Amino acid sequence: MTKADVLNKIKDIIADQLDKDASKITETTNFKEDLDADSLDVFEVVDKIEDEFDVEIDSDESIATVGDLVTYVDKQLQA
Amino acid sequence: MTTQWTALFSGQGQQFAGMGADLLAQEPRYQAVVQAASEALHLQLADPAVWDDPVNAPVAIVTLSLGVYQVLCQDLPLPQAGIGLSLGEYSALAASGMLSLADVFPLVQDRAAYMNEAGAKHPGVMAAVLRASATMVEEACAAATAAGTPVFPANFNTPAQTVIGGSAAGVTAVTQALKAQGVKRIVPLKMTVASHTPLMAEASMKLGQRLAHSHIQSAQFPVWSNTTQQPFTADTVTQTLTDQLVHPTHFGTCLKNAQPTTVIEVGPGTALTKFAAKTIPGMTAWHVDSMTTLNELRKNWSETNE
Repeated sequence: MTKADVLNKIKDIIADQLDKDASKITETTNFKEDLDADSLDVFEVVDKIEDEFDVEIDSDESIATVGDLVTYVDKQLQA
Repeated sequence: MTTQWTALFSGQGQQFAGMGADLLAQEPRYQAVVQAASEALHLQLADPAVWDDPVNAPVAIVTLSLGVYQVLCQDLPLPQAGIGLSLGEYSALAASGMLSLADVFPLVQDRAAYMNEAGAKHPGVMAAVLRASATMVEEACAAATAAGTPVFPANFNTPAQTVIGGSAAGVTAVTQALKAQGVKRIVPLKMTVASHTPLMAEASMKLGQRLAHSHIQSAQFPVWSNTTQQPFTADTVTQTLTDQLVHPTHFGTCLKNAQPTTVIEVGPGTALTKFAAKTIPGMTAWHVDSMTTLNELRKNWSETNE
């Protein structure tokens, strides 16, 4: 899976979980500022991503933007 | 055909600085509610320093919700039903007419004071448990409480999110027990008061005495209670609101029982809109807490109700 594939899949998950338009989500989209998401929302997205990608994401990992998640998941998949 | 809608009234936690300033500048019906609240409390709520003071947060949230509700009433029919979360139940009851505007503002101010007093005597912490069944959470709380560290389910928000509250030791015990059972995510919340748990017993008692002075009138639409999971009735309002402080909220079940097809959250933030989308997937959900969100709703409402 390429990093672009990871981004697209993550965009769909975020759009679905947070009820947002996937076409408006980019790597620089900030969860708190651009998507009105609080920490619980982010964790719900993270949980769904863990299921879909079969990876483990540390609760302490700092995730501010969509790009942070994409990079983290991409690294896990390469590992 | 006119769209039927259910009004959701925000609870605490999503207030933001300067909220409602644009509505206050532009919407006469909103201004009238701010004026009514200011008179009822002898406070200048139109003054940002007063409005944004954390002490006045519960009053500001209820004022914003009722102001937005009054603005929506210009264009929309009466809602089919109202559901508030915790503090939001007071907004819902006032919107329905069961509580008067003169009564509701001093009431929420006093309720907040009783909760803070009880919290100072019995400090509590809260945490959100994600993706664990309600039964698992209930059993873990019961076991920790039986072991001498009190902790209780406080908010059954969605099928996948339950908030617990209690002593710090109790919350730690439940966190460890649930993690051992495979629950991955338990998120501490920034709270110093364990609302909707027996730690609020003293506040509940004072609130019960205080509520005895409120005049309850008939409702223009049913308001679902978080506590009983049934609509409030004039006979049960006082007891139900008293119990509400020491019993868990069941927002998800209220939503399922009310079976809305369109919801509009009136009040700061989008927490209830999100809970609604997770509880009843595919539902149309709006929120209004600013001129921007109000205009979005007006535009879409007029397009779908031509």
